[in-house]
Amino acid sequence: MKRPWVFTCFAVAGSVIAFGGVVRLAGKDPFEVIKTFATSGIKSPFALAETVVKAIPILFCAIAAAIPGRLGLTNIGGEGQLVLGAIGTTWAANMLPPSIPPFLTLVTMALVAAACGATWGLIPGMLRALIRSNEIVITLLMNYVAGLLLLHLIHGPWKDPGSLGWPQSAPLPDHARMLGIGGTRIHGLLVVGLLACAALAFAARATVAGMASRIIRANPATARYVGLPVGWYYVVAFALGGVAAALAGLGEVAAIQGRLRDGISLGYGYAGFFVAWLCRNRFGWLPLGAFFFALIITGADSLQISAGLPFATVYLLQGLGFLAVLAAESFTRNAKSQSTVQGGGQ
Amino acid sequence: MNLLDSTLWLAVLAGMLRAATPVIYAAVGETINERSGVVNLGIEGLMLIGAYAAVTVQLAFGNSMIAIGCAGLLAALVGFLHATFCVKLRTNQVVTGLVFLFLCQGASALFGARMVGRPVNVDANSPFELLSRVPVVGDILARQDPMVFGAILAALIAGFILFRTRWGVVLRACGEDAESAAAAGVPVHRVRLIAGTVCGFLCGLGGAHLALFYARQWQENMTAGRGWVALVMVIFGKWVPGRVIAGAYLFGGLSALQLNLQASGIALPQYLLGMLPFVVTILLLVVASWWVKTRPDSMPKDLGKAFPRAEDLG
Repeated sequence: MKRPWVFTCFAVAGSVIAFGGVVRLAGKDPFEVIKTFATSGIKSPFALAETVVKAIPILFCAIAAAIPGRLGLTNIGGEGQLVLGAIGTTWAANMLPPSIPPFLTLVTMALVAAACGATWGLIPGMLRALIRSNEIVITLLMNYVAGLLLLHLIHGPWKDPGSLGWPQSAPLPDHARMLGIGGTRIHGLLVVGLLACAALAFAARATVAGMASRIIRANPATARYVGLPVGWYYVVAFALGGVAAALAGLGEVAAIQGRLRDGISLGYGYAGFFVAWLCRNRFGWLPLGAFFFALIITGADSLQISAGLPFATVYLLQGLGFLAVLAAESFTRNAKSQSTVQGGGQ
Repeated sequence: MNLLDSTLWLAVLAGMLRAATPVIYAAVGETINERSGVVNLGIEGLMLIGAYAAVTVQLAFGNSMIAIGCAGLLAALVGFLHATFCVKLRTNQVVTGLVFLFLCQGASALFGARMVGRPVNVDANSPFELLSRVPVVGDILARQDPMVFGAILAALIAGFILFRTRWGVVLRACGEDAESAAAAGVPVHRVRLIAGTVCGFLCGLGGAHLALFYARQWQENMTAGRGWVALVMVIFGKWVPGRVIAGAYLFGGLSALQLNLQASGIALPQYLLGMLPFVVTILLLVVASWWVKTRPDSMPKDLGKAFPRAEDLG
């Protein structure tokens, strides 16, 4: 797949038309809906900044899916790993005394969040490495477990007594908040995410690990035969993925929401998975893909308000877009491209 | 509330039969699909389509037979589309399944928005009055809806067709070694398309049961992971429909136990209890992975592989 952007163009055109048709069926004006959808993310500097704000967690979740993706594994557990990161962040923020310097506070929160996310990622990684469990199903089921853990905390032990019964944690103390840049809500994790993409793109291209990943992806049996520790690669990739998604959770809690609450993720984990797939797990493309998906999510957000459509409508548009990509890809496929699915069904 | 009280356990038993039924339908459908060599990760979405169609038709016509039929047919259509992508266009089956999942989630949420909160009234009495004469559990059996028994019947029929008929041999041949099957004159693509359609139909029935007899209303994303549980049960059941039932009843039993414990007034953290069915399902998958690793034969060999393979086209 030489040019993913060709398929992206196909996706946009095909899916917008089909989406308009479906919206018409649902009894709404398709032109109005699509106009709201297309412009809400970029109509003002403020809206653009908010779109970048949404692109940050998607970028981290895309990294979370792309690192195992380079090995031919599938991580759709970004959602759960993000939630674990958010839980770790909240816990650390409320544990640390205000006397610690702000920078150290932030680093500690990030480390705790990363540890939580890595643990959540290690479970499917280790099961995959040891007994070849299907990592797709496990990561997805673990998303439900993480979601229930979050609900347990905000309805139970961490519930804010001052929130009038609203299920959410108490606000983070001021010293644990991350501030936005230049009056917007864009926070420092954007820089971290972009640097991580650059570093990972370099690693994938120019390091032994990057080369080894390509071999493992192409043929795990060969990789084992030439002495690569395939299982370790699986475990480390999933742990790193968990860390990346957990940092998305850190940003959402410490910079955006300021507390732990339900709906901390607007489907960022799944969006990240699709970004990684659309970009063929190539780290250099991920920021662009994340911004594109942030536009879609911003659009869905404003549709919810202006047209009264459920947020899940965005999944319909995404689904249609990907069907268009799949079809376009199939028609233009060169014969050597991958058609089999590693570990797809077992 | 006494944990040794028999009424609690009878209620759990009744809840188990109901909660497991959607999972059984979906898992039997997925078993047929995977036996033909195609994995459909979007069965959660197919169930949602079935649930949506069932509630829509039930609210419009008030006839549960028509509602269940429409649910099956609409989901069968989506299953056929999924199979068309995987089989004819030879798309990546993992991504295709997930894309269909999101498509179905979005479509059912969009069209179902106007039905949220409208109760569905279905006469759920079993036609099997005689069952009430069975000692101890008779009352419970007689109060189950026909679809509970239909699920067991579907699993038995699917097992019979897969392992005792010519059709079954042909279908399994496509999943084991599509190339050899094609060489022997089996129309691999057509078999896989039919399997995908049947899978869709059964998932639609599962969704219909969930909506009409379990939740008794439409809710956005009401399947809540049951499709993924069904995928685990297929592996846990070693791709044999009859064995799939055992895992599904374990899941159903835990779900029912959790609900009954909550309702009984014992102060238990409800969300932590809610994890129980999912955690146990993950553990079942771990056990099943171990089996599959030690006995790789139990898994269809060409599962997840497009036909003809990419190398063969080059």
